[in-house]
Amino acid sequence: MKRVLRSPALWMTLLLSLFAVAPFLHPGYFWSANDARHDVFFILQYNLSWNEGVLLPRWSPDWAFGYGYPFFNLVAPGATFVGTALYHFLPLSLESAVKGTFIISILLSALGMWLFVREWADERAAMVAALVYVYAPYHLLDITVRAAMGESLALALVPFALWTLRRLVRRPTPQRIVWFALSYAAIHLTHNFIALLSTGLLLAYLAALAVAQAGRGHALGIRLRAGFRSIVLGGLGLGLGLGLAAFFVFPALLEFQYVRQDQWFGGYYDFHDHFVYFSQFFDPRWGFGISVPGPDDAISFQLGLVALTLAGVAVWRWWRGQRHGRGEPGFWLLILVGGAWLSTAAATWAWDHVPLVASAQFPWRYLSLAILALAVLAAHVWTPDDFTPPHPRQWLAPILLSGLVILGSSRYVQMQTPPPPPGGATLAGLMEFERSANEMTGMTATAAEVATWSPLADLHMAGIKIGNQVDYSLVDANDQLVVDVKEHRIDSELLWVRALSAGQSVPFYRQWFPGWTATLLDPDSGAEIAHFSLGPEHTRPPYGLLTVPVPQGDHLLLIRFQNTPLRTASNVVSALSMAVALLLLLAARWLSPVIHRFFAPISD
Amino acid sequence: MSRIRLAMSPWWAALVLACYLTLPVWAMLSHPGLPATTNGPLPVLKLYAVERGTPPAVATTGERWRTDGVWPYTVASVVHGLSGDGVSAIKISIVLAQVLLIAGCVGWGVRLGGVYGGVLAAVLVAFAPVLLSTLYHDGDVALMWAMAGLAWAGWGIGRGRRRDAVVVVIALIVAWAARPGLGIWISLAALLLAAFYRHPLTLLSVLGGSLLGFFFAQPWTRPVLPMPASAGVALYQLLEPGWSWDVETIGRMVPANFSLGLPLLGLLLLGTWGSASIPDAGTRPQPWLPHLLVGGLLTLLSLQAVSSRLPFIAQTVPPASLLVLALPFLAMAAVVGWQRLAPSTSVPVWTALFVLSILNAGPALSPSFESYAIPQQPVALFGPQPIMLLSAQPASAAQAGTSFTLDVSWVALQKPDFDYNIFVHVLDAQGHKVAQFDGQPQRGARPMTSWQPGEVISDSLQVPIPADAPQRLRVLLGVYNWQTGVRLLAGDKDAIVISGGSS
Repeated sequence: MKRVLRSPALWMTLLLSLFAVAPFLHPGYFWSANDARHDVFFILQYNLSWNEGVLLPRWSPDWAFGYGYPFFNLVAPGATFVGTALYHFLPLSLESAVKGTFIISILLSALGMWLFVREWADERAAMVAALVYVYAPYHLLDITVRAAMGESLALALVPFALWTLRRLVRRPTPQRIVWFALSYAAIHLTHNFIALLSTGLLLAYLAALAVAQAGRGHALGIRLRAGFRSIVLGGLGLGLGLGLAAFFVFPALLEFQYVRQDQWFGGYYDFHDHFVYFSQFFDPRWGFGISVPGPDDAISFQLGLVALTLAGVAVWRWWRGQRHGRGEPGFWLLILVGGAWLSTAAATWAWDHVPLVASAQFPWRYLSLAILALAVLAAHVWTPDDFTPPHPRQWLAPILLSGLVILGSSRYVQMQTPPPPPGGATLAGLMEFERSANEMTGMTATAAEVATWSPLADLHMAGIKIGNQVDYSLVDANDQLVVDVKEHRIDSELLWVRALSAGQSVPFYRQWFPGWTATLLDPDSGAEIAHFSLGPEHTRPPYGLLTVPVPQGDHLLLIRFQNTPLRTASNVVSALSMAVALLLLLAARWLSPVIHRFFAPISD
Repeated sequence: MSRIRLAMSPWWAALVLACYLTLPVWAMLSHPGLPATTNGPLPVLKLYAVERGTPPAVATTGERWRTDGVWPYTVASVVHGLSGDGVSAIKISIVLAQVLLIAGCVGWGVRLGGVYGGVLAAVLVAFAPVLLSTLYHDGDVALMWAMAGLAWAGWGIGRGRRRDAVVVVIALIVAWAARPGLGIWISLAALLLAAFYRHPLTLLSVLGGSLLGFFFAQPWTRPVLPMPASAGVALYQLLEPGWSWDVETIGRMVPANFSLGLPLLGLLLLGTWGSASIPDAGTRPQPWLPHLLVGGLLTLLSLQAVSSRLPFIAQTVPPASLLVLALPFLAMAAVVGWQRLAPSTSVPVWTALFVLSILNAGPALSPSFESYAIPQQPVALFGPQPIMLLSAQPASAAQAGTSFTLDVSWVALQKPDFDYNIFVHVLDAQGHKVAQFDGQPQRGARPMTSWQPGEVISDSLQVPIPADAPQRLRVLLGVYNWQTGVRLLAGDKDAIVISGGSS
């Protein structure tokens, strides 16, 4: 690590990445960027949970005009977690916290790609590759136009996963299993689709590394064994990483069915309207709009002329027989072509029929793979011979190309900072945004209609703090029911209830989702009388809001958003995985000989 | 094994890389529609004309030197016959011309400057702003094909082998068949270059190819018409580094660009310094000088100050075309000069030179496109600066008591110098006017002086017909000067019949 930190190329890389950071140092906020308002409200909501002591909240209270939505149970919260930490612990505004998260993602992108490429190439080549990655137009699009906080942070983590996987397979140690697992888990916790994409990528890369590890010139049995050992090692890391992220991954996968799917994949989100045209890969135009049907999107889906040139020369050198880096360029060429292909209409069949492909939502999201491959390929413009013997003038070409990489994207390193929209970064602003943009109005599966406003939204607009989420309009109309709210929290509500007749129920302004439970308590002793899970049968139309039955008499009613058995089991898996990871780190000294004995590379 | 060797030969290898690097130029043509050039739908109309067996000219039967030859449209016609529509056929013809241009430049450059030199030469030519302007601003298909012919001729010249002589002959025939006026200048340039190499076979092949091209193009069958003199290139336009910062896309809506590109000019300067400062090691003179001389001469002749004094230039080609023809010569001179200056240039530095050339292309790699229905032939051409009535489709029959609507689309082949009026006259059987429309296009929103050459102007003309009008009605359409009342002629008639019999 000291050697890495002493490398001038690394520091030069980080310094040259600052041009991409510059727009975030600009006063103001990029309110008009696609998801810029979402990002602010993500942190706003997350922080509300933190204020109540919930570190990893699954329920967000103010989505859907205050009816709530299990957003962070379904969408990876990593980037929001980072942003909230910046907001919570540093004297930053919500907007600055978002900008800070993007700055971190940019610098991490550079660092990750540099470390990965440095693993097998010269550090000057690593510098160019890292800058190609940072300044790739799609990467800049993600950051300054789409404001895709989760996606850009996850993209920054992918090179770390590749780096740690490579190190693990080539020279296995217990610590390296943990580092790889941690980086893989971090991706899962940062962006759902990039996690899926990187799983495929890491598996493919593992296979390629296994083939490389199998080597040549040995007996077939030895080679097969070496390849198999690599697969096992990588599999261990992947398994441990998945285990670490299990507390999020499994609920997200298995409980997604309990929200309305049409809001995620229907209408504007129909992927058939968002394929990239071949000419768009090369079109250097830039824009700050959105993806629309046809070839004239108001945003750019170019791959970057400089990156394409560098990658082309690299592949061409490799094809001509200068096969340095073994099969690496071939592998990354496949990834480049595959990523680009999946983003075009030529891949419609795959989108329609191959499971999980359509989970990208927008075809151009596969350009993430393409830019990753382009960056790695850019490093292959150099062969080891180009730096032998060492000479100070060998810095000339890397610096020249680095400058051209930045110059090529200089027009795209910009941001639009209009004045804040009505309400700004407040709950009133969130309500206004939900109403005007029809965004963040996610409804759960019991909702027959999508909400367009609510009484809670009126309170937020008036700046009144929400004191309870009981639908008093229905309670007041019912002379058989009396309700007095004792305690209100984001994910729970404690009420005193008097039901004058049987068959009464308490209506709430909260959406149903698995995990909501009701507990009836004795109002005097506090002893539990009954406890039951709330299901779809405990909702009322049209928005599927909770309606909790109460028996005749006086009771305390506690409703809470709790873990389902699935979430509990997932949490246990994550805890166990964490224990294994700690064990591997703490007992590395004793485990290393064992690992080395079983997984030593063939060359050893 | 031999196949592998073929794949690895310098030309093939360089061609693969050059084709890939120039992908951003021709990949744009995969965008739906036609580039929004000053030629508008003309290339497709010319294709249809060739398919009908008439010359590829819309306004007249053609002019001796400046009218396109049949070659670009014959190629497109073959493609059209195989599959696709006219627009796709024209675009494929352009792509073929580009690929051949790149291949020729690569071959020419590889011979002079090695593999990387060949690739660089092709990249410098393909991404030169003036060439991209020809393609995406002018939509000049014939010039692209003539350039392809020039590049192959340049490659063939200088080796003195029999098969190269064949290449030169074919290339010159293609250049003449693309446009005779360009054939003249390409033949002259080739002759100058061949004279430097002093190979009898090469000289013969240039002369033979030019002669065959001349007979193939048959320019004597077309009249010499007074053509509007095209302005040459101003010196400042030549020296401009690239595109203005405010230009984001290219098409007829932005001015044409006559820049050779900063990378080409820079390399040319460096190469000149390199070639002039380093003495020749061998006995043979370096090919840098003749390429520079021919390229420089063509550039000089393209300048407004020179071409305006030499009328025969404008009679044969638009002077700016000579600048385009100068491109490959100057690119070769730059590459040869660079090779002499820095013979051990590393691959990453070569890559940086490629990148520089590509980045200089700027907004020219973002052409505008438009889609519209192109008929087999235009309905009529009005006036001497032809205003083309591309289509005229009645939306309803002309009947008493209804509002007659006529959907029309116009294209100006040159920028109109007057805001002519359009008229639609509804006449009875005796020729008496029953109803009429007189006015500016698009109700005054798009007067003709605002039309850009090549732009398709769609309009919907409405004429209310009185209820007491007779049943048999005739509709005429025409264009006239509203100040004098004089109508523009369409052939020998002053109006065309839209419905209801002949005029």
